[in-house]
Amino acid sequence: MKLSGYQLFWLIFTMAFGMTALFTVSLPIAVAKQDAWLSTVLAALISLFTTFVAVRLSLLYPGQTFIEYSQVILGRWLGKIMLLSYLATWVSLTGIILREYADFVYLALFDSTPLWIVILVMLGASVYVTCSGGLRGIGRCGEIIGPISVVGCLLIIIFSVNDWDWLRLLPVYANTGLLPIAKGSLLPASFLGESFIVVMLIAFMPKPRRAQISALLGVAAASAAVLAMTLIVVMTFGPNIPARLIYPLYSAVTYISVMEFIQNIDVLAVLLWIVAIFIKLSLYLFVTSYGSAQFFGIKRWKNTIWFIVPMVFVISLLPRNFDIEMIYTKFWLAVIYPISLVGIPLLLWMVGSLRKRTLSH
Amino acid sequence: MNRRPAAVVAWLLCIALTAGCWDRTEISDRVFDLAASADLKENGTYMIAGQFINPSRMEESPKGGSGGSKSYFIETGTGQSALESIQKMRQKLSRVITRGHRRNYYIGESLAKNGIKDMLDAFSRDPGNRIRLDMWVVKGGTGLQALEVPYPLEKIPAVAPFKIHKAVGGTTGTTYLDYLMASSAEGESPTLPVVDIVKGSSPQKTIRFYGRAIFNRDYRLVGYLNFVEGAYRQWILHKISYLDLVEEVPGAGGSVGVVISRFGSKVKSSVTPDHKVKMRIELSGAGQIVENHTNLDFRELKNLTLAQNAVNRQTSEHVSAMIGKVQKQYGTDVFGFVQTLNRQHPSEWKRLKGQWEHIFPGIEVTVNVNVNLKYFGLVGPPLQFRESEIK
Repeated sequence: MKLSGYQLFWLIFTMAFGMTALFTVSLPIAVAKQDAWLSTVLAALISLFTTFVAVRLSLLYPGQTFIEYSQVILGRWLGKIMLLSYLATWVSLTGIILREYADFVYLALFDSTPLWIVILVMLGASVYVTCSGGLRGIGRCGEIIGPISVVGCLLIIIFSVNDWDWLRLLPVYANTGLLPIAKGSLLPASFLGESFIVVMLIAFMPKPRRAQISALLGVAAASAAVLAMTLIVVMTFGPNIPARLIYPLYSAVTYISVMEFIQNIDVLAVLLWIVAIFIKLSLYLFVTSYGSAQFFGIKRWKNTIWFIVPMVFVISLLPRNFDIEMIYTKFWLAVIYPISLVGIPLLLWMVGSLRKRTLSH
Repeated sequence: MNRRPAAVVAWLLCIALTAGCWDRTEISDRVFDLAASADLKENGTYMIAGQFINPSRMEESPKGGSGGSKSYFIETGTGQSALESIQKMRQKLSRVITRGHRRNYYIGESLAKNGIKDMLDAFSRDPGNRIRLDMWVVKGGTGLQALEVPYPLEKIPAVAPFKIHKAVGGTTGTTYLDYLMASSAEGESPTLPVVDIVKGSSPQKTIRFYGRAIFNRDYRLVGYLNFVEGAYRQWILHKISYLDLVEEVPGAGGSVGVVISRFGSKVKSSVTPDHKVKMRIELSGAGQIVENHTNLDFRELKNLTLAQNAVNRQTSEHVSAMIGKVQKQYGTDVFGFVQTLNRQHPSEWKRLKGQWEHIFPGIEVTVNVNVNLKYFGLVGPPLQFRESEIK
């Protein structure tokens, strides 16, 4: 299984853009009003930094995955305990992503199809690509799907031009202030920061040095796309309405009407988000199964998929309603993100570089 | 290893899964709702009506044949709430209502006066609805009456107000969202476009674009702006693409008719040291003279300037009067002044935020219309005049 820098770029872009744009626009607008775009810029900077840390950390131990080198850095037992929490996070996160996808499809397209069928079809597709192609298959999917989502993003921008009102972005900064803008940046930063997943991917790159530029560019491009979407939402709906919408960008797309001719194109948007979620899901599935195989010392990593998939499936069906998923999001924001995606990588990076330096002396 | 049986099973599963669809509703099981109306009856119950396409009649002429063979039909339902009324209406429909194509929603005057707070939510909550929706207030009538008017030019009469709105230079499809944005903002008051049903000298009743309805912060209708006043308001908000004005030119023995295109609008706010808010409105546009009842020959620059100044001065007065009327009579900020102040003087806005209702009526507004008359058509002075009559 090999992954090129080009593929890594598209993988990161696709997984970071789709879900961030769909799920995380509402909250920044709720706290930072028309300055939500400043929140997105801040989120981009934060996530670029965390991605940089993750890449640097992996480059300390080329050819090793996160599962391997964190046991080197922290020692076997401490490393194992920490990794267990990561594996648990990945499994639960995969389940929740699946459920969020299914809920969205339920709202936008199907309301009498049972939820588990919607989930199963998507899960089946991800399992298929992970099982048959492994990371290489996912990487190739990314190469194809990534550009499609860029085209979709551009189409949304072009078609919505008519609805833009730049005045709705004013006044800048005066109504909010630093604290709301910073607060609003957390959720998008945490979604964009999921590019942390590179710590499991760089080991598969023949030229690991290229990972840094690819990953950072991927996050930057995704952030730019999310920024554009945030601007579109605010310019279309003003600062008050999107804060109360569940999927502001989806609503903005349904609102599109170009010369009374191009209308009701929400299905296109749904399609784009479905492919983005497909990439994200497959990546998490791969990372979880490969990681747990390494963790438990299982020779054939694909065998672990058959333990993970039922878990993911059950987790995705657990939440009774939308609010319970929001509790997970809150937990994600308050605990998982600061600790697992920012704190621990930073710590590992510092400890790892110190170790390397003392070893070389 | 023989994989053929497994492949066949997988293939059959694919067919079974992809060919069917749980959510499919056949087109013959759907009824398309093109316009709907909501009214409040005298006994306090709601009445919801919908104008539905009659697909089998779509090919025929709208009024052709005997009664009952129209390309649309109207169904109603009455209940304690809007949803209950829709439920009652559904009891009479053999098909599922599909609202993806609905563009117009009429609200009867009595309901509008009583408040439309409870009407608004479903349009954005239910994914089957479109936010791109025009809501209309029916002046002096009920929504049902507006639905019932057969409009000669369009097969489906519901299309008429939408097209009229566009033809008179308005923005279509945005009124529902504009309403929501204004009512959710601090200090602003929402408006909706208005139609009324008229029967003039022409034999049939028809629908007329009347102007705009002003709502207060409690979602209640408080008053109307007529067509020209409404257009002035849209001009201030930069939401107009066509307007004609007829203004008297003093000392020239008549009036000129001007069609304006390419509109511009600048609102400048200022706050005096003693915290009085002032607004300065600059309206601009390019005009063409389409009617000349004066004795002026527009090939003379001074005559064109004379007419232009007269049009500008008088239009400024009319716009001022309209704003004054809204300030004095209704006290509702339907011009986005509060947003202008926020954009230009955010700190002052923060200070005045809660008290805008008291501030708005006292704002000193100066209006300056600056229409540039560029063309005067194919004729200099009116052709019918004698040489001696022309100046």
